[in-house]
Amino acid sequence: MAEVEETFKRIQAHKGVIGVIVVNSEGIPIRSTLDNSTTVQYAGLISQLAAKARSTVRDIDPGNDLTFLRIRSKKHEIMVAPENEYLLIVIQNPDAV
Amino acid sequence: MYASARSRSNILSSASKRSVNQAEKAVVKPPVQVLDEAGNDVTPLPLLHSDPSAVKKNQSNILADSSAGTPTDLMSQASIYNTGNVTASTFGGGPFTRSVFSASQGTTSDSMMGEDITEPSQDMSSAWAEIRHKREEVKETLTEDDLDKVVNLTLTETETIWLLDMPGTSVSNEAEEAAKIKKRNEEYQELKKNRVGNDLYMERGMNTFNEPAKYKTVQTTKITCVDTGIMASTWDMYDTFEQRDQEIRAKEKEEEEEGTISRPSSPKEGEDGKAGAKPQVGEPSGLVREESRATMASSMAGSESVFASRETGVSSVPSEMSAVEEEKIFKSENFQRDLFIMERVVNLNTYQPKQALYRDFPIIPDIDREVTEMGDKQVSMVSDMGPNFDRLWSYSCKLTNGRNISCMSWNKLNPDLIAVGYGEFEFSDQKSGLICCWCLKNPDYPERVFTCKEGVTALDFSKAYPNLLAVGMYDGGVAIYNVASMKDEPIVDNFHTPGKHTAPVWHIKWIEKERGSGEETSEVVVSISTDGRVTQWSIRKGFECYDIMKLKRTPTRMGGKKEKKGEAFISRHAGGMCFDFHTKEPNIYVAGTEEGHIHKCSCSYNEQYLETYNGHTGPVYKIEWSPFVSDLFLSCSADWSIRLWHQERTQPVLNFFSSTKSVYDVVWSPKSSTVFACVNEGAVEVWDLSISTLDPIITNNPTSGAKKTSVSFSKNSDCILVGDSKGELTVYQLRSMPEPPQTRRRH
Repeated sequence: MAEVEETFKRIQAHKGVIGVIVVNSEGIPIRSTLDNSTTVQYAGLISQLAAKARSTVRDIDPGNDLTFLRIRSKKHEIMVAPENEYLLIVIQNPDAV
Repeated sequence: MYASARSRSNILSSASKRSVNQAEKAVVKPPVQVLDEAGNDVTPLPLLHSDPSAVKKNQSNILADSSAGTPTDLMSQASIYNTGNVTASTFGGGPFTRSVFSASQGTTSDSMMGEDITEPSQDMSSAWAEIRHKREEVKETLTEDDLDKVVNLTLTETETIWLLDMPGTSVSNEAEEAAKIKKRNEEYQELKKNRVGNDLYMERGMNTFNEPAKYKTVQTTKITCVDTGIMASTWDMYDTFEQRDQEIRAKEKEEEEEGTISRPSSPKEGEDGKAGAKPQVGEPSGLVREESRATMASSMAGSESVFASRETGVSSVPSEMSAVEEEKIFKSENFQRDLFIMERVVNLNTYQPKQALYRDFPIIPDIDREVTEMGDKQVSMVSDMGPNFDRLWSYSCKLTNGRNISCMSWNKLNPDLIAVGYGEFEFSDQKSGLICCWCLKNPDYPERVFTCKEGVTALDFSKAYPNLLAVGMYDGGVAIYNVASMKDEPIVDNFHTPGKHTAPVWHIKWIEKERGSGEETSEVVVSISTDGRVTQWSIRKGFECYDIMKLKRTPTRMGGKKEKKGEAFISRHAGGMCFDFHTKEPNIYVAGTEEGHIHKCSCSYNEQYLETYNGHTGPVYKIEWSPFVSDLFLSCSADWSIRLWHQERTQPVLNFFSSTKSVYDVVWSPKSSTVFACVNEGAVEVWDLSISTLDPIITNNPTSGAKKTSVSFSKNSDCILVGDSKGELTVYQLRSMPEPPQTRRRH
């Protein structure tokens, strides 16, 4: 448990990381390093997108499953680790000095 | 048929007679009067006032046209007529006939007739009314003369009434069943013939009962219909089948296990319980997942509102349920793994160009990054400079800050993994030691951290068991760690064994030794220490040690001068600083001592040296056989020099003096036979003997101020790793290196 916390902190403290959010299976954020409104927004939108992505992957081949999702945008990158019980979202700006 | 018609016409006429008589009366008052005992008129009034015109039409059908009625009608009429005639009461017959007529108007049901019979008066009046009108049309005024008149009766043939129609079926002669059918037909013909005078057959009439039909009403609660639609995606179906298969497999497994195991039933039961529980657990989670999918899908449109409402709820997120959930999620293995991967990914984003360089991948510039012109110029400058370094990144973290890197070892199986030992060289600033395993993919934090009480001075990964790491410490301890586990303990150590070194272990290595003749080689750990012993440790039973060699002091021989006589030695042993086993002959090794002598020894003799090489005037810190040329070895020492030796010659082949600082480490390049790197206190140098033997081709003086203490080449890349006394392990990429010389077969 402590290790998990430590890793969490390290990711948070990494260069360029804007925020880390953990969302449960219903789309409610349970941990976040961002402010409330942003968190809720991310949680809702990303959950939907991850569900859609997973559905796409599985429709093409039901034996397959989504393991990781990365969205690269102009300003930053959103990395999503989707699971059945939760969703781990990290927003990072790789060009940050 | 005709008979019945006749009888009907008779009745008709009789009926008409009666009606004629009574019709006049009936106009004024109701034809039937029911009087009770008191003499009151309780005649039931007719409920039905049927439309006379409609009635008329129906009546005409029946009376005039005898062919309109259905056969059953006529039959039933005939039967009732018969009965009517038999009972033949004046009024009784009347109502019967009337009721028959009225019945045959609309319905042919006998129940109606029954009803009519019980309550004749009602229908009768209506029937009367109907018939009355009819009668008026057909009525003739009959007189006495008419009795003598000749009445012409016209008999017409009615339409053919089909009672039974069974059309014959014909089958083609060529059909499959033709033969069968022919046979049957013949049999039938014979049957008919036989039937005629046969006793077996008797003609008999049958009367079938016409069961009265009964109507029954049932009242139920309203059957509500609900429309549900569901969409099953391909993977929903796949999942369901998978789960079912899993359950079946689990059951099969259970049956198998039950068959084989008799005594330890309870643990198995526990397993079975688990296996049984698993599909159940899987089910709800699957259901939950599907539910959540459904909610996702269905709430796609209305999600904004849903999540807007959640906003208010989010502020109270640290509620009990979510706290419990959070813990559960955080503890789950999946989460750990995901975090781990996420960390790597995040690091990848930061270090991607550098890591790509490491792997010699072409760097794809970030399209969104603003490219400055200066960058281009810099790049071109660098490529003109000749062989040089390019600093990629450095492995360091909070834990390692301030610690001196004493040794490094690459993992034999995974060339991206390097173990670094942190320990002070000086006696004065000893602190606890640290071993960190760093991975290329995460330059920010080591994969494994092991803490030791004493400073770590030597490290080596095993070849046969790539997860075993042998560690030598400042207090002479030797320990073996298993890097696959996260535990911070060695699996074996010699801290309490009597064979422990009494001085720091400066070098440690895994050596493959042949045990006996022809047996498989096993690996042993060999360590050398300042107490003068070269010890072999084996982990067969416990941690056994065996001294391969005790380094004896040899009197220094100064060339040309007389031998100094009998100096009093403090100890008979010379301190060993480093050693290296020969690449081709596993029994031969060279060891460097504190005095500067290098001895070639063999494992078979533990008292005598095979050869002594004199040249260094200070402690020899590192010695290494060339990986390409088996007779050469390099040594570096605190006397500011690096020397290249040949096995056969006791004098160095080449000497390299490039700085005025003691050289802590020297390594051959794994790629090129003429390149080696060394590190002295202030700088990192890369030498290429094919270009120059006087100067290094690359000298790098990082200005960080830390002393460089160790160096190593990377196995799978053109990089060099340099560790310093501040705990930073820097990765440099070698650029524009000259081509390695082609291998020339000498032997």
